[in-house]
Amino acid sequence: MNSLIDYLFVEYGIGYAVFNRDLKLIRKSNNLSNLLNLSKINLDESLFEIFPEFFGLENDITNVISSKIPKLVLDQINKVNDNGDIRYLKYTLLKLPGADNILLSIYDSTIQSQLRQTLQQQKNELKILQESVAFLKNNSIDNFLGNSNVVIELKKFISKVSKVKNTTILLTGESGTGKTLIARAIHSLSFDDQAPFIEINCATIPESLIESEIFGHVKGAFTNAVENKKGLIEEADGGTLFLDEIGELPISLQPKLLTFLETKKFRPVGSTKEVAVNARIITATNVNLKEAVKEKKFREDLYYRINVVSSEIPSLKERKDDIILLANHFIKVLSNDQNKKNIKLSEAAEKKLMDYSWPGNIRELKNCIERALIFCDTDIIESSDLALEVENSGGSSDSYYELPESGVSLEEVEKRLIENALEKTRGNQTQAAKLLHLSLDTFRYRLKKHNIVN
Amino acid sequence: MQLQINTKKKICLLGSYGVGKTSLVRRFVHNKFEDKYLSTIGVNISKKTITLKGNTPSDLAGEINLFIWDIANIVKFDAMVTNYLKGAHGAIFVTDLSRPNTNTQIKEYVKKFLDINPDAELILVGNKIDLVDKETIDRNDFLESMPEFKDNIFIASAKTGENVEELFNNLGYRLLKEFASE
Repeated sequence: MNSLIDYLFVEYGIGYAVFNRDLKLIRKSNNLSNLLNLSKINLDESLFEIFPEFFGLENDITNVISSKIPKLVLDQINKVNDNGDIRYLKYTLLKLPGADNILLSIYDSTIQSQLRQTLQQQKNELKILQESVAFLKNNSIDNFLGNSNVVIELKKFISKVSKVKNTTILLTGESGTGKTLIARAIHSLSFDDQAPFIEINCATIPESLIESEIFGHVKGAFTNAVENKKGLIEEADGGTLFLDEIGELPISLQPKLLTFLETKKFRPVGSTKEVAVNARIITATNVNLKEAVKEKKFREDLYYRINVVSSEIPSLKERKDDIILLANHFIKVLSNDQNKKNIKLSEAAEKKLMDYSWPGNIRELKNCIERALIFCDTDIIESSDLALEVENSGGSSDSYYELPESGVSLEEVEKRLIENALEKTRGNQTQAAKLLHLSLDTFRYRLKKHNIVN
Repeated sequence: MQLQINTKKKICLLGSYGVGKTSLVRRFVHNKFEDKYLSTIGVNISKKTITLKGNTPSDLAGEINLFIWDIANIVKFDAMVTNYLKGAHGAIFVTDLSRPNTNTQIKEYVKKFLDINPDAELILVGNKIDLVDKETIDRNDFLESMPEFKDNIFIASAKTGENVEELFNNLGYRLLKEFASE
């Protein structure tokens, strides 16, 4: 009879233990130690030694013994064996009728619980993935790579200013340092996914169109205004308006922008009605605005209005510690695009990257790596694969080019230099002309001559 | 004469799904970490003894046997969950720093937990610091939004082990101190 009961207990995953008033074990089913993943259970052991799960529940146990409560249930207790397999148990503690003893029944609910666990797992994995993706998307501050002190300070700045949505921010720094990326990071941390981020590059919109592009126009405002058109400022309502190359904004438009910054209202071209826009304004420039103010190219009142909070974005030469980190990042990202794997920099290549002054900053580094990946034939980028410009070591400007034996096409060199200048200044013709010591008119003439589309 | 105390205490780990409660316990008890996520259902109980050595004769010292209740994400505070929480001397509330949503449930968890164990010691842990930029985690944000925890807030990583031992030891020490004053 007993063996039949034992068989049924094992078959149905049930066990029991009986304890006296002193909570000492006085009887148990034969399968108890097996159910609990214990090697041996002795009579007279205490309830808490065998079932530590009841520690902390002393009051409830007393209440069961004194029949104040009918039973105490602990469900889905995980018992993990040495292989990491989990057994799920349900404990029910109740007083035996007509006796002082208490009965603890143990039920193995592993099959049902495993089903529940599988469903729960799938549900949770999906939710975690969705939440993590949303976080990574929003936390674009992590996209600004670097461990140097200047970058750590910059990340703190981004984190702090993103909490104050109505402050105007000015980002200064050389071309290619990542001002747009920072503006986007501030935007992402300030607003939700749906909020607009409108970027206006004041240097690339022709002067004749810039007012209408920024502020919009109404039908009939000028010859080609055949319908009402919302300006980019209005498109930024509820989000961020990023005015890149603010130093290039025509002086004639600066009072209108100043009025907008102060009142958050403006009139589209040809309109008599004011439009109100609530947008965070971030501006950026690579020119020295103080100098521009002195030269009367930039209004002083506008300068102080946009310069509420500002940050000078460090150039790559100020964050040398990050050069190899960034180079390896670009290798990883760009080698995927080129179906190459496990590409590494040789020691000499690393040294060459570290020794270079990077006037074009991160953009130049990225282009340099992209070129190197195209031309390197092995999985190692050698120093010779890195096409870096010969640096001016402080000597006279005519000493830094050497004519190769085979000669060069002067036309081709000129074209390359113009393209390079545009690349470094992100298409800003004024800045590109300055880099080549040319007037804007001469620069534009040469653009046309070489058929370069900016 | 240094006071030597030996005691047993029950602590609970609470927090949303996937915040790393089980991983924190595994790191603390077994010094292991599994990258694979395995959702806990019910409760997993572990034991670990912490030995606290006082540096000076007046410091508290002793052994504390921690019964660590790693409780699955609580959807409803029903009788089963109440039984898990009863008799706890302390609780560690865990959030995932890479999923800010996981902060939102903490206030409710704390309230329900304190309804059952009003004198318990509490700790808040922002886990998975390895996944986020340390400099962007403003500890003051946590402090301001969770005054219940006073200064008992830890930024940790079960994956790297950062601050894991420290947070359990902190709770252990406070439980020992509490016990000594009783």
